Amino acid sequence: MTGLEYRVTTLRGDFSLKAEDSFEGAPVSILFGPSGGGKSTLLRTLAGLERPREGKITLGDQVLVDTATGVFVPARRRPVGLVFQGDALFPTMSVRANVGFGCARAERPGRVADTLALLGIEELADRFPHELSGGQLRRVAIARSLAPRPELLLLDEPFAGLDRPTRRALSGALREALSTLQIPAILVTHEREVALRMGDRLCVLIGGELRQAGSLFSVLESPRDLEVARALGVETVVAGQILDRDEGLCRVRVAGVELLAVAPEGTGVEVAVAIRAEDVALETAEVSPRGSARNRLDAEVTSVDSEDALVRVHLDCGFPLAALITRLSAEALGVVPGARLRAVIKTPAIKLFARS
Amino acid sequence: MDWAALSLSLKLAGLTTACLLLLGVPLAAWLAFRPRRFSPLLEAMLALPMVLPPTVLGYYLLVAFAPDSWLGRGFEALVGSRLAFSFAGLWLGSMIYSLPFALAPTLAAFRGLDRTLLEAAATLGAGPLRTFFRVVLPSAWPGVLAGAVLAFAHTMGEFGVVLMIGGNLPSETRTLSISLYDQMQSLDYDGASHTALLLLAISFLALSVTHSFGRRGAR
Repeated sequence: MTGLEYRVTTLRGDFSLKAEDSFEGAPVSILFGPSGGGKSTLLRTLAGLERPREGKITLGDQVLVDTATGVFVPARRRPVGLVFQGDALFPTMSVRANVGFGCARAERPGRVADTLALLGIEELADRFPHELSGGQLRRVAIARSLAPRPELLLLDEPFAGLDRPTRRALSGALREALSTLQIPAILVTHEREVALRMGDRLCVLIGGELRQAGSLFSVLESPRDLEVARALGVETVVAGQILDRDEGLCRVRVAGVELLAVAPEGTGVEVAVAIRAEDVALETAEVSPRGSARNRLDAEVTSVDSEDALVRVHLDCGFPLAALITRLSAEALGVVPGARLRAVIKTPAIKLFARS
Repeated sequence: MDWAALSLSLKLAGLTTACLLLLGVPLAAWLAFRPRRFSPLLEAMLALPMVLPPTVLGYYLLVAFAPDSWLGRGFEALVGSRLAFSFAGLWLGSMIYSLPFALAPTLAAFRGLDRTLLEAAATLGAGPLRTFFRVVLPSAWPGVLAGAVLAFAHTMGEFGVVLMIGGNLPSETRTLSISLYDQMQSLDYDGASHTALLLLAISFLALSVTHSFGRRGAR
């Protein structure tokens, strides 16, 4: 899989974008952050639709942009596909013509057939964009960008405006297409759920600055600062494996600890486990378990942050876990770094996101 | 009915429209899709014939076509005949006079196009020509057609410019509207009413065509 390396500064009116990242062999990188953070601008810069003020972009061994030597490869000569927000399909062309548009004439029929099949839309080939549903349009747009077999695929909010079942089906199809074709992708989103479902790498872009980049779980488990944590939604996200399923519930192993959670759809084993800090309660380790909560974990307090009337307690229970409790409770329980407590999490409070 | 005038008008309007299509469509594309640094000024200049009194335009054209002007001299050296009071001069004048009418709907259609379609074409490797013929024109052709029809109708009916730069030479510069003026001058009311009705019909037909295609384009 091709590696990408970029360091760019783009100015546009009074908005400036500064971003730097490099990766190799990551199937899907998520560009995450609040709207207006510069995600789309970065994507357009990588595609060649925006000229950076300064910087360098290298894809594989091809230099796409280098302001120091005056290199600027225009969009149409870059082996980069872009799926636009709002699809941007050609309204006067059939699906077949749309998907074939970027292919060389000789290989067009084969490429179109293969790519339509890959996204499961062969039967749409002779329809026109105005005859398609939102999910179908998105699939055609993805197929159109994939048909010329780019070395990198960029997607701008590919799940925006779709309902839940459509999203789920599309994210599965997209992941499969990317892994079949071995094309790395950068996907822009402001939705955490999309990041958890699709991401292998996570780059957080806030206020025009790329603040943190790394593997999905490393960034989620240890946001660099409070702003990044806020942008990500302050909660625990860790990788887990489903051990078994029973009557809609499942046992999930996370770093040697077993949790009971509501089973996600599908039959995948790999999941992202998300737990909101406000859903984690603490009790002293001495009391014998009682009540309805099924998940009780022995934990050691690693650090404590005060937030007005509330206290955010960082715990180590085999994996890092955050709990948000009142200051009164914290004082009563004697929450200080090094204290041994028990974390209590209700089964429905553990959200699982299937990743396979 | 002055058949020579009708055939001259048709010839003039047809030739002018064809040339304006060849010239105006690339010009409109350039104005619509290039970075627009100096285009406001250029556009104002190109639209000027729309608001200028025809006699004023005719006057300046006549000055430009004069045998001692560089244009008049150049043309005479090249072709061997004079530009003023000739069909060629009339044709050149009509091009300038009708250009804004051909340009405005074309430009509006190009500008109304979703820009991301052009960007999508670029990310798919298409160059400017392929983008224009495969993406721009299939969506914007009703605007181009409207421009052509307007230019045609406008040339069919022009009077002031023709009178100034063409005069009234049968089969050379006497167009339909000049002929109508002549018929009135010579109190030939029957002939005038036929000519007027014909011009009215042509104008109405032209507008019907543009409106019906304008609706189809908007859908």
